[in-house]
Amino acid sequence: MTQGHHRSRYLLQGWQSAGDAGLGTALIQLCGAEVCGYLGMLDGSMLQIPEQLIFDHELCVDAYDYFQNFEFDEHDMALDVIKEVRPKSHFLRQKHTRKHIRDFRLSSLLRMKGPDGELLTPEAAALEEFKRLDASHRPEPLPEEAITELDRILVAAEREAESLIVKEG
Amino acid sequence: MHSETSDLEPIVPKYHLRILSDEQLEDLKSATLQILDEVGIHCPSEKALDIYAGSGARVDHDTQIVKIPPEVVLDAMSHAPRFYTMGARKEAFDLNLDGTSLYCATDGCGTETIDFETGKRRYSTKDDCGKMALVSDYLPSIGFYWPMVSAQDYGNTAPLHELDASFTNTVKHVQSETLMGEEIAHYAIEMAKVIAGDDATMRQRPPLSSLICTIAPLAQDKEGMESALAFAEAGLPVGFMSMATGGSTAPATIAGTVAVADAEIVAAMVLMQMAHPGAPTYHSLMPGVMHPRTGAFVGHSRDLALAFVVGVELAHMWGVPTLAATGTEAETSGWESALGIASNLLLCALCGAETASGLGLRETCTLLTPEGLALDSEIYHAVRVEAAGLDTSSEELALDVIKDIGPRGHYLSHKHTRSAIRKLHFSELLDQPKEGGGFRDPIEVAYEKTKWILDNHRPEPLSDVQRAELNRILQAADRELG
Repeated sequence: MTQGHHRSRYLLQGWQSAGDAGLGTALIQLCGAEVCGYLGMLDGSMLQIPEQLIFDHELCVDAYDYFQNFEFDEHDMALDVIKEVRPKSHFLRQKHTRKHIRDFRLSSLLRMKGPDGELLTPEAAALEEFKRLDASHRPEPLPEEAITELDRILVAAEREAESLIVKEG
Repeated sequence: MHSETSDLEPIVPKYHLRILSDEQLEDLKSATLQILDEVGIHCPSEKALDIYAGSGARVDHDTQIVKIPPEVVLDAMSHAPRFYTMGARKEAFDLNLDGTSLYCATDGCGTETIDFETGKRRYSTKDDCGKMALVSDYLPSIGFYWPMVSAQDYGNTAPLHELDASFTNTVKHVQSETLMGEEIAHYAIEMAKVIAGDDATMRQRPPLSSLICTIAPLAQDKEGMESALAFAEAGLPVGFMSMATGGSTAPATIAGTVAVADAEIVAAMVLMQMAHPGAPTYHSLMPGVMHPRTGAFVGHSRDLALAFVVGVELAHMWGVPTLAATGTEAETSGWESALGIASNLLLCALCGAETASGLGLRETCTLLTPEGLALDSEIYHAVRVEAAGLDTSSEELALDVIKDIGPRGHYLSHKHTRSAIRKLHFSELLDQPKEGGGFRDPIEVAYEKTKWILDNHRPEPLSDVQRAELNRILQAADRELG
C-alpha cells in the first residue's frame, strides 16, 4: 500500500496551491495509490488555513471523477431528442433537459453567489463553506464512556509529562 | 539587433492514457453518422451547399439543411491527413504534428486588457496583440500563437491587423480564430504567402492556420465556412471547434452533448475534404454545460472533466489531429485558473493531443492580464515535466553516491550533487526569496517577468521586403474592407 500526497509548498492559498495539488491528485490516482494525504495544509504542510481543506476537497472530487469510467448508453446520447430538436434550435423546452439538467454536478466553489447576489470568488465561497460546516456540522459523538476514558488517559499523560518536566528542571 | 528565440519545449509524454473503449468510440461514431444522415446540418452558404450536393450529400436549398449519408462521410474523411506540419516563420519552430508531442498555444480573441502600465481595464488593441506575440515568442512553452486579443482599433480589418502584429513579433506559427469571410481570408492567405516566401513553401510549411467555430446545435456560419474553404484551397490547415452546451444547445447529458458537437465538427471537416481532398484539417471539442440558474456556459463541470479528453480520442478516431481546449473561466489569476489548466492540460497530453490552446486569458477567454501567460506557462512546464516520466538510469539512481554517503550523512559537498542539481527544473516564479524571509507572490513575479520580456526580448524581424509587402496588403484591405 502506498500513500500519495498533493501538498502545496506555497504559503497562500490560490494559484500555486491549485497548480501543485491539481497535478498531484490526478497523477496519484493514475498510478493507483491506495490513500492520499496532506489535504488542507499549506507552506509545506506547516500552516493550517481553514478553507484550504474545502479547496482540496474540491480537487479530490474532480480527480475521482477523472478516473471514473466515461459510461454512457443510448439514453445518454439522446439521439431521439436531437432528431426532435433539429439544427439551429435549442433544447431548453425538452422534457429530457428538464429531467437531466439537475444531474450536472457543478462545483460548489465556482460561480456561487453571496447573500447580496454578487458572485463570490472561489476563495470567498470556500471560506463561506467552511463557516457553514463549522457552525452546523456535528459528527456523531463518542459514547460517554469513551469520552470519560479518553479524558482519564489525557489527565494521566499530562500528569506524567509535568513530572518529567519537573525532573529535567 | 535581435534576440534569439529559445527552442520550443513541447510536452512529450512517456506514458499514455485511454479513456474510451473501442466499442464506446464506435458508438459515438455511429451517433455522429446517424445525426448527419437523419437530422443533418444547417448550412447557409450556397457555395458550400453546392459542394455538399456535388459530393453525394442530400441538400435542401430552401431549408439549407444538408444530410450526409454515412458512406459519403467516411469516404470524405478518408482523404484527411492524420499527420502534417504547421510551419513557422523560422523552420526551427515548425510544429511536426506526428503524434509524439503536444504543442500549446496561447488563448485568443480576448476583447479587454488590464493595461500593463495603468492597471485599468480597457478594450484591447493591436498593440496588446503584438506585445503578447512578443512574450509568446520568448516563452518556450508556447509552440504557436493565437492572437490573444482583438485589434479593436482597426474595425473590419482587425483580424488582418492581428496577424500583422503576430507575424511581426514572433517567429512561431500563428493560428487565427477571427478570419470570417472569403474576402478577408484571401488577404490573410496573401500575408501567409509573404511570410512563407512562395506558394509551394506555404503549402509545405504553412505559417498560418485557422480555427472556425460551428454554431450549436448542428449549424454552420456562412462567413466561417467560406473562409475555411479558402484556407483549405490554399493548403493552410483549418480546424473546427464546437462549443455545444448541454441543456441549451445540446442534450442535457454529456454523451448527447459530445454527439452533437462531434457531428458539427465532422460535417465541416467533410466539406473541406469534398472540396479539397487531402486538405489539412483538425478537430476541436470544447463542450460546456448550461448553468441552471444563470444560463451561462460552464466549462468546468465535474461531468465535463473527461469530455475534453474524449475530444482527443474522437479526433484520432476520425483520423485527424486535435486542438485540445485547456482555457479557464476564472476571473483572476488564482485557485480556479490554475486548477482548470493543470488538470485539462495533463489529461489531454496523456491522451495524445497534438495541439492545445488556452493559456493566458481570464474570464472565459476574454480578458488579458499582464501576469496570466507567464503563470499559465509555469503550469505548462509542470505538466511537461510530470508527463516526461522518471529517468531511472544508473546515473540518476546514483547508488554509488548513496553508498558513499551512507546513513545520517548529507549530499551537500558531493560532486554528484554539484553536477546533478543544475539539471533539476527550478521555477522562475516559485520559491523566489522575499526580503525579510518567506517567498514572493508568484503572481507578482510573473508580472515582473512579463515586463522584463517586453523590455528586453526582440525577436528576429521581418525582412524589409516582407514588411513592405504586408503593409501593402493591409492598406489594400483597409481600403476595400475597412
